[in-house]
Formats: sequence, C-alpha cells, structure tokens
Amino acid sequence: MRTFLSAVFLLFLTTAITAQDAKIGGKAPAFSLEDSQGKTHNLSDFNGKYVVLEWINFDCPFVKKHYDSGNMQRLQKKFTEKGVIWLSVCSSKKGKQGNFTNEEINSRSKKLSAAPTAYLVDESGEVGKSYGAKTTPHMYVINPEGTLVYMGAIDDKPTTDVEDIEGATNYVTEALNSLMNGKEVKTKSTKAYGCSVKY
Amino acid sequence: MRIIWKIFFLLVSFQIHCLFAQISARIVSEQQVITAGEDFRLGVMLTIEEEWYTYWINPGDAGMAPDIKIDLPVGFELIDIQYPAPEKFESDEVVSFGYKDSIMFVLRIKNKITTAGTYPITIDCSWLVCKEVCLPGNASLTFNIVIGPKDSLNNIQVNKLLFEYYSSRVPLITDEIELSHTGTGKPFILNIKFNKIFGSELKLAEVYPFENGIFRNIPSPKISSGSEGYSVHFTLEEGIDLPSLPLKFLFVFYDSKNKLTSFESTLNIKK
Repeated sequence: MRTFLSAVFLLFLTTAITAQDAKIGGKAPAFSLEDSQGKTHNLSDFNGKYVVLEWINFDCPFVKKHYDSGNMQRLQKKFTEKGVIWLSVCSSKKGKQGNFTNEEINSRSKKLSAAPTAYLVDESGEVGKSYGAKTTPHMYVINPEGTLVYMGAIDDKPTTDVEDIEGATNYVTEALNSLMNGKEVKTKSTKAYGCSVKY
Repeated sequence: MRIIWKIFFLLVSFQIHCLFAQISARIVSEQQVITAGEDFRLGVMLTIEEEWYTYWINPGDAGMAPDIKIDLPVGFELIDIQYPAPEKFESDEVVSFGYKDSIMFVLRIKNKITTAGTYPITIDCSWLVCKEVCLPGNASLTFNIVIGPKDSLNNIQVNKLLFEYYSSRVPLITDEIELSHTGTGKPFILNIKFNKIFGSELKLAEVYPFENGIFRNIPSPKISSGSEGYSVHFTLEEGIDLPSLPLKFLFVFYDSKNKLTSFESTLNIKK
C-alpha cells in the first residue's frame, strides 16, 4: 500500500513539475539554474526588474537568423543597458542537439558577441516545460512584479530569412517599450516560431 | 513523326532536379503533352532523406510551412496548390504536422493557350527539413510545358500512379460534414456530424486545424464517437482568444482496409 501511494505521489509530483505553469497575467514560474560560468541564478534574484527569457539553440536556423544578423545582440545590448535582465535559456537535454559544454557555450557566445545577462543551462528541461517553451527562439517578458506579461514569438515574420527582420514587428521590443512607458502590453501572446526545443 | 514525339518526351522529361543533402525537389507533369485549352496538373515532388521530415501548411508547434511560388507565362493561371494530409510527429512536448519519405504538392493550372508549343515555367519552393537539427532549403525549378493541338492524342499520362496516390491524400472539400462547437476556450469541443454517405466503415483518426497557433497541439486529442458523428476536444493556446473568423479543419479517416480518406470543412464560430 505504501509503495502504491508513493508511486501515486511521485506521478503527481512529476506531472506538477512538467506541466506548463506559465500564464499571461500570472506569476512567472520560479526557477534556479546555473549559467555557463557556473553561477546560480534564481528568478527571485531579479525581483523589481524586467526580465526577458529567450530560449536558445545556436544551430537552429531561426536562432541563427537573429544572431547572424546581429538582431538578437542589438536587442540584448539595448535592453540590458536599460536595466533589463536578459536570460538566454537552453533546454536541450544532454546528448541531444543544441546541448553544449560550458566552454563551447562561452566560446560561441563570444564569437557571436552575444550580450545576455547570462546563458542558463536547463538540461533537465524542467524550466522549459514549466514555461511551455516549445521553440527556439521562444520569448517571455516578466515585469518587475514577477508577472508574465508576454509570451511567444520574437517577431511577426516566421521565417529563417535575415531580410525579413527589417520591417518585422518585434513583439519583445514592443512589450518592453510599452512597459517602460507605463503602458499596457498590446500583444500579450503570440504563436512562437522556430525549431523544436530538444527536451 | 516519331522523332517529334521523342523530342516532346525529352522536353517533358527535362526536369531540373535540385539536389540537397536532405531533400531533392523536382517538377512532375501528369501528362506528356497538354491539350490546348485544357486545364492540367503539375506536381512539386519532394524526396526526403530517411529519418528527416518537412512540414504541412500548419507546421504545428515548431517548424515552417513550405512556400511555393509559380511563375507562369501569359495564358496560364494557377487554380490552387493542394497539400496532401499530413502525419503527426511527436517529440517530448512538441507536436508537429508534416511529411516524411516523400511528398508531392499538386498544382492545378488553368490553360487558356490555344497554340501548340513549348512554354517554360519556374517554380520557386522553400522548406524546412528537420531531424535533430533543422535546415532551411529552397529550389528554383524550371520546366517546359508542352502544348499539343486539340485534335492530337495528347493524354499520355506519364506519372499516373504518382498523381493517383497523392491526389487521394488531398482533402476533399465537402459540405457533407456539419461542424459546430461547444465552448469557446477550455474546453473547446468540435462536434462533427456527418452524412450517411460516409458509411460506418470510416473511422476518424486525426483532426488538424489549418490555422496555426489557435489550438494547443497535443499528441492524441480526445475523440468521442456517437450516433451522429464525433466530438473532438481541443484547448485554446495560452493567451489566445477564439477568432470570430471561420476556422478550417482537416479530418483524416481510415476504412477497414486502412485506406486513408481526408476531408476539409469549415466551422463558423459562435460566441
């Protein structure tokens, strides 16, 4: 009986951990992850600040579109200079495509001149699943109160063409600019586009 | 005369194959020679390397829909591009819709040409092909449409089996399926009432929304069957409001011999 109850509890716990908790207008799911430099970051460390979560996979063509063009780095620099915490998160499981050693992450980040606050490693996929991250990129914006205010695509051009960046509506920029000007985020949720997250 | 036919055959067979590591693309014609003034069909055939897959017009949670652009000479007009029913790919939390092994998109073309001759066309297509990693690909394909006079024997079908196979997988547009819905979010139940024409042999296996990003894609949505049809349980994506525009769905049925039949039908939303 005890074994059965333990099994039921374990199943419940697993479901609770892996189910998507992220909801627009709701509290952003808490997490604690190590970055590629070995430093631990808790979401709660950033209370009072705007936080951007960017699901990443360096070799995904949709991610490459935004990094090879310098678009993602420009956004990271522009907003981190304004005090925004920008966290790139990789949920590729160990052994799966997109999972790299810290040395490789740091080397690639340097080569790309990536400028997030930190690159977080989520090998278990628990954080990715709690946010319902399905693609790379998949973007989330959290306000200083810890509320999720935007989730979805980086922009409205779901292609791998660099040329499509110019003229696209960037939802993350739009959300952050609105928030910083004391306005409500107009587009709160969109369909993310990209490669699948390799859980 | 035999030489002329041989030239015609060579022209029709002159298909530029664009070879990529994971997908090779080519244009195929249903007929060697098209009769002047008669509509015809071409196919964009993608041969996909084993274990790789590409996407349907609604790619699902990830990926990208194929893009096909055709440049036709004056006198021809594209009627439509028909996309065969996809299959579902599941990987952990991610559900995608697409094709593996090979797929042919069928292009129906209106033909107002009355003069026999050769007419070059170009089809530009792009796709995303995935396995562990995803790679974008594209091809610019050229083809010579050969128009023969009305009174000659033109209807030699060169790719009959290909067209038969892929056309049979293109969803039939029908008003024999009556769609309604219960709920506007969680849950959203799609009720499918169908005419007796379908018979009792057909069993609903899959339902795919044409529009991307409205419903949460799950590996096996709950399908309940009743005396008048089926009910399929969907959930709206987080933060998405049900649009007031009509929504198109694709229904995949199998008969007792496991033969696929698919239909598309439109749901008018009531709020």
